[in-house]
Amino acid sequence: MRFSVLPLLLVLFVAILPACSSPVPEDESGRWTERVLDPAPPMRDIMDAFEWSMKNAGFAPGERDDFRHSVTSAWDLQLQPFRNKGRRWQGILRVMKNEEGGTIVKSRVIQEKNVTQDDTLDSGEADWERMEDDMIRSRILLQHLVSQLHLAN
Amino acid sequence: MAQSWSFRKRDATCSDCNRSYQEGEEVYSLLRLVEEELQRVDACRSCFDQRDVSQDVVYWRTSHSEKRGAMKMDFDLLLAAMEGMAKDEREDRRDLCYLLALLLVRHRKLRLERVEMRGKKEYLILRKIRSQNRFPVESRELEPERRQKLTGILAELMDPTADGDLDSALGAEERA
Repeated sequence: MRFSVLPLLLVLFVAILPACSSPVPEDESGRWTERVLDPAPPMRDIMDAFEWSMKNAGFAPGERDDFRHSVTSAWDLQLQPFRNKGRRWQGILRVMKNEEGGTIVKSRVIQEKNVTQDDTLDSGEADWERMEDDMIRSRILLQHLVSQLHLAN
Repeated sequence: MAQSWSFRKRDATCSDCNRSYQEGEEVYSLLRLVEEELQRVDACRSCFDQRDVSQDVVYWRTSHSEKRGAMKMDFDLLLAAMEGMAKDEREDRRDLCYLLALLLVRHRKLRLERVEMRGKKEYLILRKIRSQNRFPVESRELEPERRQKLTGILAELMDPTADGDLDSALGAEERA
């Protein structure tokens, strides 16, 4: 008995196609700072600028997602001896199109506090609770990004 | 608001009296605002002494050389220019001051301590390295054409004798 693989491939293609074309929606929650890029540099240059900006703004390297056009830093940890005083921050930079088709870059800095009652100086024991996003640090991050993008011809 | 900007590369003659420079002669490079037009001038000592100082943005002294050297950046000069302009309320100078601040932050000559909102305006609070003095510079939203012209002027500030744009200069500086 002979089987044709063509129908099987077709079924597979139809099944996989929506997964490729419909990425998981971006999480747009939180407080973002943004700026329009006009004209917008090539995407690769923007992504490179994201990484430089994170570094210059004091964030440790994290994850670069070329598919979603975003860079997320590692957590910037600041442990303190007292409960609720320890903090950590994570920077996010993202590029996207606005409704007019323009390119905008956005920054966000997530902030959390350590609420553990045990060893507050042990990051392994930390119990993190989300706080308001750090808007000041977010603006600083965006200015570092502007310094990377605006000074390039 | 300045509608036109004119500047040019340094050549072998004085911008004002057109006298040719001698090898090694002192040349005063000057950025000045004349009726809201930003000009780059390279003057001999005599013309420099007779200038209208109220038009000065920044000046620096070099010596004339026929040889074209590698592009060099003088951050102290840029820092001095920026500090002077930080107190100036004129729109032209605030734009240039903002770009200078970004350049110096990018190259870690200035530390961006925080960002403050004052009314509807955003200010960068900056601190010189190894200094406790802080000063504000207004964050500006520049039109693309204007920004490109200003970055061109910054490239001129870095070295008027060398060809190349700011980006290549920065790239060379970062590779060094």
